[in-house]
Amino acid sequence: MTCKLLLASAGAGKTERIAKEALKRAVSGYRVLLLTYTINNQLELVRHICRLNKVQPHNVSVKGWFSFLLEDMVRPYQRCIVPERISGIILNSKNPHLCTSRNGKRFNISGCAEKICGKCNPLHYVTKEDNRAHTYYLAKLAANIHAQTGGKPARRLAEIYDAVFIDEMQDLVGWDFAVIRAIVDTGICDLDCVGDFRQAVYETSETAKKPQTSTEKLTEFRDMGFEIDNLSISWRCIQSICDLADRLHAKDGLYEPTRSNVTSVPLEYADHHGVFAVHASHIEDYIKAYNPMILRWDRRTQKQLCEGRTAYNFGESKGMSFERVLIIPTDRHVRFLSGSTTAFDDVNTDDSRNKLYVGITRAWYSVAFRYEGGSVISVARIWNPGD
Amino acid sequence: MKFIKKLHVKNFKKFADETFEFNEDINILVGDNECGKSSILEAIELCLNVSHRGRPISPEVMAELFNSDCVENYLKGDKSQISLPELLIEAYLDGDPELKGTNNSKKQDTQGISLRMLFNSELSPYYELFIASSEILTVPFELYKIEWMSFAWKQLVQQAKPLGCLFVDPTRLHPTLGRSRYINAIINASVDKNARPTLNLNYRQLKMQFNEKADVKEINTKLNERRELTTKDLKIVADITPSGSWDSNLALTVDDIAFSQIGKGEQNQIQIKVAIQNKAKETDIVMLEEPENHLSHINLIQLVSYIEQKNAGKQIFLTTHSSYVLNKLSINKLCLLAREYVKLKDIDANTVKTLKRLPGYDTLRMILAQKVILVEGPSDELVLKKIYHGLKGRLPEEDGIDIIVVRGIGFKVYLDIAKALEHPVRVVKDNDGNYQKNIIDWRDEDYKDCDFIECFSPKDDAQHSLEPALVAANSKTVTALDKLAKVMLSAQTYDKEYAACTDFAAKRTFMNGWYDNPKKKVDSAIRIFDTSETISYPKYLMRAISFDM
Repeated sequence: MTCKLLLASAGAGKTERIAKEALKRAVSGYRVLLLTYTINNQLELVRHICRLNKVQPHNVSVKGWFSFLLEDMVRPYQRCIVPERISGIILNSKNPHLCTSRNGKRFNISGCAEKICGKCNPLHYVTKEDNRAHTYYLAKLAANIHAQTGGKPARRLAEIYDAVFIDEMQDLVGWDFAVIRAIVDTGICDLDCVGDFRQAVYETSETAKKPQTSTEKLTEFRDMGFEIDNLSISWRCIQSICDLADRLHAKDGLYEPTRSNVTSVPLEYADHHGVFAVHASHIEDYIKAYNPMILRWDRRTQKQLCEGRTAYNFGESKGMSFERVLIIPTDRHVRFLSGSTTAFDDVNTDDSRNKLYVGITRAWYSVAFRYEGGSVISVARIWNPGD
Repeated sequence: MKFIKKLHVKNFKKFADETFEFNEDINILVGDNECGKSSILEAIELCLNVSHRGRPISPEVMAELFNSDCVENYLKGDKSQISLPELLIEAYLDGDPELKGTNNSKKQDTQGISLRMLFNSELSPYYELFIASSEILTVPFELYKIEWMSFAWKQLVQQAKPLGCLFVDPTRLHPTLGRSRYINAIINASVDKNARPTLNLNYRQLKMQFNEKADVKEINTKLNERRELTTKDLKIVADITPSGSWDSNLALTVDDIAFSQIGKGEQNQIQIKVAIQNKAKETDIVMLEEPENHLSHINLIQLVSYIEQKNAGKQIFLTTHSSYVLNKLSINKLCLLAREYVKLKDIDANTVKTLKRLPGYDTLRMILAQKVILVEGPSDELVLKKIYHGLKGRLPEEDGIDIIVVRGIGFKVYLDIAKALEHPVRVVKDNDGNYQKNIIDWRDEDYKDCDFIECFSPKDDAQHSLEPALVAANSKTVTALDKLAKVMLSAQTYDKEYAACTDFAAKRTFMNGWYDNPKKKVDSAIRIFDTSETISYPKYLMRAISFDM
């Protein structure tokens, strides 16, 4: 068995690559499992497979991370911790056992401790009313079941599949890595993890369990014996856009420069390509002229501008691509774009930086940034109506 | 290959809580009537298909499936919600690791499927109303739910059954239905998945072609010539609405005769063959109920060799009352349902081979009889019957005592089976002039510790077979011997040759010497059986036929 980690830049065609790789193995009789975090990406995987092969072969399964944890890593052996069948999952955005009182104090809901009198407490993992599993603790539950049964879930998995691919591996965090380690430890099936830490904007849980940061995750992968490879090309963005995006994580020293494989810009986009800055007062003209997709931080950003137009939050836009993009940057983004090298240094998470990376790399031919007042975006050409 | 290793049923039909182990290839279920052979097939169908003899599970069906004792216990009990009975069928499987987990009643880490019929606790308000109402006569199955899951606790769905199972039940064939739904089910299961849309498409095109035929068009034109019926355009067309799919409109024919019109035996054979040769990958398990039904012996022979040759890659379950089917398909695949469930495995390979070659012996009769006596020849049988009749006024078979003549293959084959099953059996055997060698040593050689095999034979080496023993038993006085001679010999022999013997010793010598010819033996035994005279019988025979201990 081999464990591989492929760090692919945005637009490198990693979904395509996974689809190809999965089909190649399926043809030789392997049973293949493709795992990914978002529903969008599950569909995307299936779409790529069908583009290459018309149908999804019977020996290629595509599952979401939570369904995978629940169906394969938890339920078959759950009775050692949770005696009654877990009926489903409940999506938590934050720790379900923490409660904020009216005066703003945070406290733990009683009866939800991991262990009570030294025994595993099911209510740490599932809801009392309908026995649904908290997604926040699902990977922890899987890891603990795996440990308690002496590795049965992963061995069962190895009986079913010969190869497992994990797409968007950057979204996994904390206890998820204990599950990956469990699969690695059985040493039976091939495991390929693919993703890009620079695009980590979702996290499957928010626990304090390590690894949390990209560096920690990468160390963890190395520690588990993964062969690490880079795929630093882009089939999507033109070189100037790649260069801008690369600057965001240049300081980390982890990534090779991205090489654009886009050799020519189609005629209809040729008159306007590259990176631009558009003053707030010209935004309407710009939209009228180029009809770009608007990308923003969240729903509250520039409500008036987005009213009646399609706009995506940076997070949502992951996995999509557009010919032209208009980004409404946050203040921190503006600082970075204006040439500050320390713009992201005072935050603990990579969230803000990664969201901007995702935003920029959605564009094929042009990225434009909205700016106000005196802040001039250093890397961009300033656009004026009539250009 | 997917197959069932073990079946665990609880509160199902006559089984309160039973586990049955199976062979991965062929399982021949035998047992007396009403012992639950068919119930096992039904349990398998339920667990793999969630249907009962082709029917979906409704409250009425559930009422048929629940064990009557558990229903009675509920009705006698406090009728609390937790006392409502639950039915469980678990199939322990191999060949599909996705079904693996420890969520089964034995907590084993293994592949399997479980089917539960239990009270739906969401409906407890209705249950409250139910018990508050008048007298409760039945379990409220209307408030039950069905849980169908793998041992990995994944909910299973009909559209993606983990195992395909086909239940061929000839009794379900309805003679008056042209295309029974049942036949369709078999055809559906055996025609390749891709063949269905192809057939359907062709059928639809055919109907459209009908509308385009010149003759049809002409008829339609004439129909509208004078517009007498309506002012609009009227047309006769083939029905191409979706209801007219191929499987409801196509019929099976055999040599151009509609399937329903051919003989029942032929129908039966075809169904079984279609089920077995089934190339479609979807079928893993084929179940046959009494394949010998409606078949002549010759047809049965053909069918059984068909089953034998073509079953590769599928697990077969069949119930039978035919020793032929059992012997031919190999007696070591026997699953016996008696007081307890026994799977025959440790049986001498030569015995298996012998029976495959000579399948005509009544092995099943011995296996199923509670009290069985094996004898060497028909004379032993007749005399034993006569003795029993003299004592009880009835024949032994009327009291469930089965006397089996072992004939050519001898005792060994029967006793090997009895040994493997630990089935009690009595043996009445000639000592052939050496009691020590032919009875004691013979028994010790193969059946030393088998207390359930009892041998009966005269200890006196001179009484080497039945007739000398009879003579010895009737030699107290010359009158007694004369009486025996009169019964056993033909009138001619008695009058001439026997009468010519002058003294007691000569008469005894004559009688003992007369029976070298087996034909004479049977004739005499028939005379003994028919006589109204009272004669004495050897002690070993009296003991052999006496079961009232």
